[in-house]
Amino acid sequence: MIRNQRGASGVRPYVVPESVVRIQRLLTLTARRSAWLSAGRAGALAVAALFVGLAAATLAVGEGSRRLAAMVLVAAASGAVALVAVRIRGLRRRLSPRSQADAIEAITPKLRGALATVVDRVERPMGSPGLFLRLADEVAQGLSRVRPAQVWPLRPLWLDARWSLVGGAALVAVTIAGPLSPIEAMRKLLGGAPAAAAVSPVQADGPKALLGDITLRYIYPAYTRLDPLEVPNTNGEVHAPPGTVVEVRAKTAEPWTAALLEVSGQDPVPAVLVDGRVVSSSFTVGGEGTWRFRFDGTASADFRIVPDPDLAPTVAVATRARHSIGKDEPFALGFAVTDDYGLTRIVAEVTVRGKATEVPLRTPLDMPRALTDQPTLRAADLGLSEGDVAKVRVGGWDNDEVSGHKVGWSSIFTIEVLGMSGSKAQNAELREALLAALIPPLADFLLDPALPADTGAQATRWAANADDRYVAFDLVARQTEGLNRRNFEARVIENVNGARRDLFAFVRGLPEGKLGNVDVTSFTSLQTANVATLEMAVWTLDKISRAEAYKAIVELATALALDARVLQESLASLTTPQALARLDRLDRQMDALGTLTKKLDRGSMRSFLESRTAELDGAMGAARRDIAKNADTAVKVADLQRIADLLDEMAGGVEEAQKRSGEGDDALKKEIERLDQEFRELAAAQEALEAKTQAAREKHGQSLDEGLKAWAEVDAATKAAERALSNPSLSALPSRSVQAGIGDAQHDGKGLGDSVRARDTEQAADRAEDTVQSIERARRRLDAAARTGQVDASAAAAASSSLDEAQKAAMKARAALQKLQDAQSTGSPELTEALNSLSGEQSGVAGRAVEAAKAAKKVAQQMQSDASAMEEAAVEGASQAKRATGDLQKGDAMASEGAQDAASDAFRRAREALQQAVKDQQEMQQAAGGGGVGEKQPGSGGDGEEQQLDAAMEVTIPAPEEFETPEAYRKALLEGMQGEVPESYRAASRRYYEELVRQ
Amino acid sequence: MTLLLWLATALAGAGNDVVACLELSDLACAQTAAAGLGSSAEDRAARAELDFHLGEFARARDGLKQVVDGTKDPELAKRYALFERVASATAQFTTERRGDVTLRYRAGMDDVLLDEALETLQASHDKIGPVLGGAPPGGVRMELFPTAQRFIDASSLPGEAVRKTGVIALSKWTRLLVSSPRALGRGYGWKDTIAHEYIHYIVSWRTKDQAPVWLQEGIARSHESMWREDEPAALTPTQESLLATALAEDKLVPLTKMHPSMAFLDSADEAALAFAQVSTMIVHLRKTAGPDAVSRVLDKVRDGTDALQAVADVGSGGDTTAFMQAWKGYLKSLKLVSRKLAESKVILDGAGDEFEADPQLGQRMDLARFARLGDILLDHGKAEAALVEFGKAAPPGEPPSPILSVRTADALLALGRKDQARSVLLASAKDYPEHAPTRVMLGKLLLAAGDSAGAFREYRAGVDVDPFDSAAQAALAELYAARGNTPLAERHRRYARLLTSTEPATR
Repeated sequence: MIRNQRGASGVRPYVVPESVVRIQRLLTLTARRSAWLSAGRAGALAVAALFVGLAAATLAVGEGSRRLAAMVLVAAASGAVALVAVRIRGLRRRLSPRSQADAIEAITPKLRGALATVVDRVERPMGSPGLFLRLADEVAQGLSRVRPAQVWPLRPLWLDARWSLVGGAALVAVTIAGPLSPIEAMRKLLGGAPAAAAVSPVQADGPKALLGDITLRYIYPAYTRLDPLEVPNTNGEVHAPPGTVVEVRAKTAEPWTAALLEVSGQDPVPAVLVDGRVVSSSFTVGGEGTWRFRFDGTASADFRIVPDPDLAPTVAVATRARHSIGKDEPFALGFAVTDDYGLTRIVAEVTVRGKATEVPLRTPLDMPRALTDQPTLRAADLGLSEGDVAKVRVGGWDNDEVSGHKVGWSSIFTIEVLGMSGSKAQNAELREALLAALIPPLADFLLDPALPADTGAQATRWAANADDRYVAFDLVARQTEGLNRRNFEARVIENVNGARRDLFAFVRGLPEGKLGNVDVTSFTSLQTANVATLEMAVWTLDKISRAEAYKAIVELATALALDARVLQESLASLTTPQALARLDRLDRQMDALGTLTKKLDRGSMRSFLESRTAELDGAMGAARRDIAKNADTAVKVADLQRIADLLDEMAGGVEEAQKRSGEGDDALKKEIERLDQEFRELAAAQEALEAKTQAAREKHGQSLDEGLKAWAEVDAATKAAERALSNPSLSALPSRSVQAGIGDAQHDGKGLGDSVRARDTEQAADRAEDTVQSIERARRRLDAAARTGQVDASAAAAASSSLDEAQKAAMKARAALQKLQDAQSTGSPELTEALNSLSGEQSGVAGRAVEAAKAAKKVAQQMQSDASAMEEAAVEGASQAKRATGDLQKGDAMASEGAQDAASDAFRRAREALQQAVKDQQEMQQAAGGGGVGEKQPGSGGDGEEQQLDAAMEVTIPAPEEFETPEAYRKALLEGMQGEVPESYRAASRRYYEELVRQ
Repeated sequence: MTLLLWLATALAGAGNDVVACLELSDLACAQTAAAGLGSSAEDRAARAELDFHLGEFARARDGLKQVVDGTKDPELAKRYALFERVASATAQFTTERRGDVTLRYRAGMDDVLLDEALETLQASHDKIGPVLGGAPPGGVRMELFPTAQRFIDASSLPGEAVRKTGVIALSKWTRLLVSSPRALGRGYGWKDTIAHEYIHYIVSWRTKDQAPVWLQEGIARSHESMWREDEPAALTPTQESLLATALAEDKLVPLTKMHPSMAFLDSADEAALAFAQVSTMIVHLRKTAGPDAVSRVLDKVRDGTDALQAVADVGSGGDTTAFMQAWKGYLKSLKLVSRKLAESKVILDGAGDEFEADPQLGQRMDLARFARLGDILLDHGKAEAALVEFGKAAPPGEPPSPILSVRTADALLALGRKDQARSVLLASAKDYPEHAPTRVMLGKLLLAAGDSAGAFREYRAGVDVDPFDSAAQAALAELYAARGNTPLAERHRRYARLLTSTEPATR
């Protein structure tokens, strides 16, 4: 129902406003219901006609008039067909969006005319897009309460169904009262009993030798790789693929002296008789037929042979019916092939200009029954080049060695290989569609409350509604099926869907009741991450669109300036009409400049270009006027000179902007490289200091085991406190005061946990004290609430028990921490001195870390991609490094080691986040065609780095020379395939191994 | 002046006299001396130099070409290259003369600047000249360049330096070279800039080019508004903010650091601070020693007195320390803006992205990202959501952004929240009075609310900075008409027509 909006006006496809999507969805539903009702009504009338005809024919047969019965039946069938035809006549028109719109308007008078207008405009875009959007919004609003059942009620179907009931009643009456039942009548009409079973060439009349206890043993052809199968006590009927050897063994009712096995189409073969009553022989299944034993001239009954055909493979492909790809753009061709007994090869048949060629895709060595793969191909892999339009189908060949290899084909799809410009245009269209589809959900998520639900049930409802925000996005995303995953647009879709999946999966898994603190934190964090992902997607797509517009403006303005100069030079040789025609052509091309300018943001470049465009319009007008009145050539030349100058100014301005932006990028790139190096050095310096601290501690008394033991005790107590404080009995208590008290305690408990994890003895001790106090306060409030009846006794008892447990654990943690502090304060003077001597070095690292955090902030502020994670990690690193300095000065070795470890970890994370931000920025700029503002990537290593990125995303197979022997290499490959590896690796490994074996 | 010095040594007789006069920015003297020029190569070079100063660029280029062709002198070749560049940059320029002012510009869109440019220069000549002890004889010549690139070509300044320092106007070769407000995305205070450059011309002539940069800039900055007002210009809120911070932290820029050029200071903020310092020094001088104080200082500098000593002589009886202390005391008496404000970046010929010219967002790509997202949402009719993004782009504790204020007001207006929009704009206009979109939007709101006086003030301020806004010109025309000022109403209607006409270049 969603139509491509490409039309004469050049409106791009995919761009479907949210309101229009809603309208179209309703129209689809009403059309579906209308179709269903029409089919039901036609079916009801046809059944009625057939029932009546059958009843009449039964009576006619009963009266002995078979001819009349036949005529009645033909008439009834014709009537049924006619009724169906009447009912479905014009169905296609009636199902059209416009007819559905008319039907909806008929029941919603206030939308009369408006809905039809929206439907018409969707199919034939014209007029103001803004007004259209407004109208669509209003109509969508008006339709929000309209349901398909209101538009197409069930009543007409019931009316028609009554006729089938009448026909059915007539048939029942004839069956009960008539001499024949309809079935008997039909048998009589058709000339007696059904035809006999298959005629056997060896069938014979006369007495039969009786057989019993027939055992069949199937020995299947080797290619089926089926084990032999013995089936005892059968009815003698053979079911097996051709080529199967069937060993038959049976017992006879009486003893015989000689036996033969007769199989239709085959020569009789002697059978073995044991004790005159156990007979056995074998035959090979060929075609359909029968088998029997013949004993001394008396044959047994015939037994059917039913060959099971080895079918051709079935092939399914995961791609769109039409696929446009760039010349060098990789695309994924997903297929799934299955066969009854095994596959020998998978090919792609590519037909270009009537000539078909086969391209091998896979040649599995183990002839699997099912094979799924998604190889990444380029046009050249299929033998295609720029401009080719190919019909492609994937074929799977089976391993049938008996009746010959058979092939099964997928449906045919089309691959169009675009040129550079076509490919870019397609990507640009897709980006524009993605942008338009992502803006409404972003807006909606931004306006959601900070926490959209208080309970799990509410959250689930919210998620159901919120997922609808992606309807338009999903439509666009579906257009990208088969798109290579490395493609920028595919990654945008993947990122958006990833954040969305994380959020909704979490929300849908929430318990129904009130949300606990941990769930609230996760919920808001996932919600924030989802918004950030949408923001980055929208911003990036918009940025690319603007960068492309910049490039296009430079190219167009430069070309137009050249045209203007050519016109200026050839002016003398042109007649007035010729010159005016050339000028008009120039003018039309300049309109495109105006359109491109509107794609830019509302910044200074747009003002600059708009100002020049306005002046250009004036200069064109003056030139046109002077040429028309055939003014002096010098005047006309000056006019054109002015036009060319203005165009040069435009191109020059944009180029200068690009250049300046590149300069900024270069400076940023240097800063990023410096920062990257600094994070690396800081992490290393911090690790070295941690090692020195540890060495000093071990040398001067405090053993690691003692310290670890002490901290393990603190860890256990803290976790116990946190666990007790998150007990469900502490949530949903009706008293606000109690809830607040418990909230404080939970907050302090979490703070205690954080401090302990950071091995910050001093702060952990403070937080332990806070936790003990706040639990005590919460308990007092609970007691008071229980006394006044605000909280019922059983709930209060359960909550009190949890608080007691938490209190005990917190006190234990406090005591353990106190012991740790005492141990540190009574540490050996040598240790204190050694640690103090390290504090200077640590202080130096902390100083550098503070400067690095400042630089990180500056870089994050200048980067186009989101580098906030890097900034946060750098700040954390600086903070931990400073804390380590303090701990060393206090002589607390364990605490300082903890801080040093946390600092080095933070610096490593900062470095990773910086590299990720650089990569994001690169990908964004690469998607813009490597050009636009900031063509040179900050932090990029140029082509080398791009290849590195490609390499990281592509599955790589180790080189044979990395192994000592070819056997070791193959073994390693096979082992690699056994483990938990990504599917892409698995498939690539298989492909590689197949190739290897063939060599 | 290096080349002129070279010429002075290379030439002899009348040629030498012409160049010596030009060196002193005395065009009348040079024209008189030129009467004695003959047809020798040296004399032809001197005449070409005079033509160049007079703004006859094609004639100057052609004249010097004859001399250059006959010599291999590299200095002359350089001079010829300059003449050629300037002639190319001013090709198709129109000349307009009124009173003492000669203006060359490219007809077309810049026609909207013509009347006010001439009026500003004439007023500067008439009002500021006497304050500074007289203006150079022979009137004033100015070229108005439609793009920064043409300004760069004509100024002989390195393009990189111009774009880095944001120089948009210059007083050189006895002429004023000024970029059209069109060269900057949203215009600039171009009329005060014209007056500012004219003051440099006067000071250079009055002191025989002996005034140091700090004195030149101090006088020019403080007096640049006196073509329209009787008293020196007030500091901008940004300058006040910088000065307040520097005073509090005792980080004023020493005068010696301002030599030889403000462009060599460490940062744009330091340059802005230096301008604020020297400007207030001159204002303080005027306040303590009377309106003719500056003229007396110029006389002393011309006679060879050190500039700071000359200021002290006039302002505090010759004690430089006492003058500086008194000036600091004066600064402390001012109620300076202490809010944290950022300095706007000058973006020439649109060479920056949408927020680069913004004092805050131009430095903060992370915040600019949210601002752009707000724009996108607003363009798609999601005003409420746009406000959320704009909010993210303006975290607490950061300097305000004028562009963001306008966008926020846009979103608020889309939601019908006019009062909030007005408050946002009023606050922004206070911090960044030269941000034309703020003023124009505020004018529109005030006009809709029936406050025509307020609307006139805002529209006038907006159009003064960005005269290329046709809607603002049209609104201003109607406001003039309502005030009974028919000539100005007609003028601004003409400008509005000119800016919206499909043939603005047909005058």
